[in-house]
Amino acid sequence: MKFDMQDKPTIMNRHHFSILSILLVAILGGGCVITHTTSVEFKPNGNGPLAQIKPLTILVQVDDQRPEAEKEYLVQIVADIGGTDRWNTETPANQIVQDALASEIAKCGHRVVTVPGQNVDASVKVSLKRFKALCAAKMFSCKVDSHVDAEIVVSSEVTKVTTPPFQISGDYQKSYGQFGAGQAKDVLSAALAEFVHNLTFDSRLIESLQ
Amino acid sequence: MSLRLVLSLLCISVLDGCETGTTGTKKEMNVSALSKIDQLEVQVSVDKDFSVMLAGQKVNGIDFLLLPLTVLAYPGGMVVAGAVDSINVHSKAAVDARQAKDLRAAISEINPQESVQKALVDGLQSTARFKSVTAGNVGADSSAGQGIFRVQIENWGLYSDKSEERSLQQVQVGLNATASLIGSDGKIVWEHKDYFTGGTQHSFTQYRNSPELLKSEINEMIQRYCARMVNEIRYAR
Repeated sequence: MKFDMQDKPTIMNRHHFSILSILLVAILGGGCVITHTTSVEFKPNGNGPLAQIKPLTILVQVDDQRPEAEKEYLVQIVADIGGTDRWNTETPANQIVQDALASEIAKCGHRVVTVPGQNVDASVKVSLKRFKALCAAKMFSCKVDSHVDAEIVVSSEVTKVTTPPFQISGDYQKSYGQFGAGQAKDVLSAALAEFVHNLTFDSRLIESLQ
Repeated sequence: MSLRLVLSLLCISVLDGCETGTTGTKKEMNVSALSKIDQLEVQVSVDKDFSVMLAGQKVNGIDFLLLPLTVLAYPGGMVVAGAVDSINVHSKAAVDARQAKDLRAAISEINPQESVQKALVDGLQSTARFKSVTAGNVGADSSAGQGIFRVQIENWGLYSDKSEERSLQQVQVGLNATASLIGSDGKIVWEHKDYFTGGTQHSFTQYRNSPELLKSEINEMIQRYCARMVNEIRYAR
């Protein structure tokens, strides 16, 4: 049977066919989730108020208290017409945060331990509440919000004072024309850098360690 | 090649690689420009009065309750779910607005504009980076040798990003603000946007029943926020 869409009006004309094609792609692609691997990079600065405090031995521990569903990935991109890309890291999220914080504190001139023991002057306990980046991809761009949120408790073995838990966040937002593993690494690294900076410049941390 | 296709390709080429940062550190500190500022004027503005934002609303630029729906739903279902939640959010916002009005009346003497300005002037003077630090009115321009430290508080109040049930038990004071250091040539030397929280969480009932607790938490949060900003200038290098 000859199917001439140019000359004869049919139920499925070109316009309907286009809509149906898009819907078909959306339905088929909607449930499709692809998970990739990425990494997070952190470069310690070693400056700020933490570097002005006399050298201490500081216990740094980061506990993963993210909701179970959020432990499956760190970055999620959902396309307009369906289909989901996720990125996760081989290193656990709490370990990434712990390593970053430990390297920053060490570069500020302090000795860092990650296992409780004797001869510790202070402890910084971090309960990681959120570490993720989300994006609703549009046709030509992708605006990504990345966040690191945690609750912090600082205890001084010298003064025997423990702070009430306080919240520190590191947020980062950026729009991309294309999004891939490199961009996933960038947004996570930037949010982590903000988080570490905000914590190490916070007066509650500094006063507890002085 | 059709005009539509040409325009589409043009859009792709223009938008490809377009990157703009909007939260966190918006402009890294230019230490050289900072060192040229002798006199600093501190300007503080507050966009909105005290607000209460509990579950389901935008606290930190993110709609926490809508996000999972947006992420998980299909395009068709997303429209319906979004519409239903939009109604819920607006209803909650009306309740929060009433609560904010009542609480504001109980803490009427709190003036975040004055408190932030005073704490910043005192703190920035103590850095010894500038010959003088003075309070000024928003809008005045910088001049030779004079820079401006401008803080725009977008909102301040009681916030929670938890579920509706938990947010009544765990709520804390916070503020959203953008701090900018403007050089004598009018260029931005440093800019940072913050969602800063007081840290200590109490139940909403505790705050409602004790205006003194609320005042104390707000004052402490303001001092902590200003100390953070002062540290950014003091330790800039």
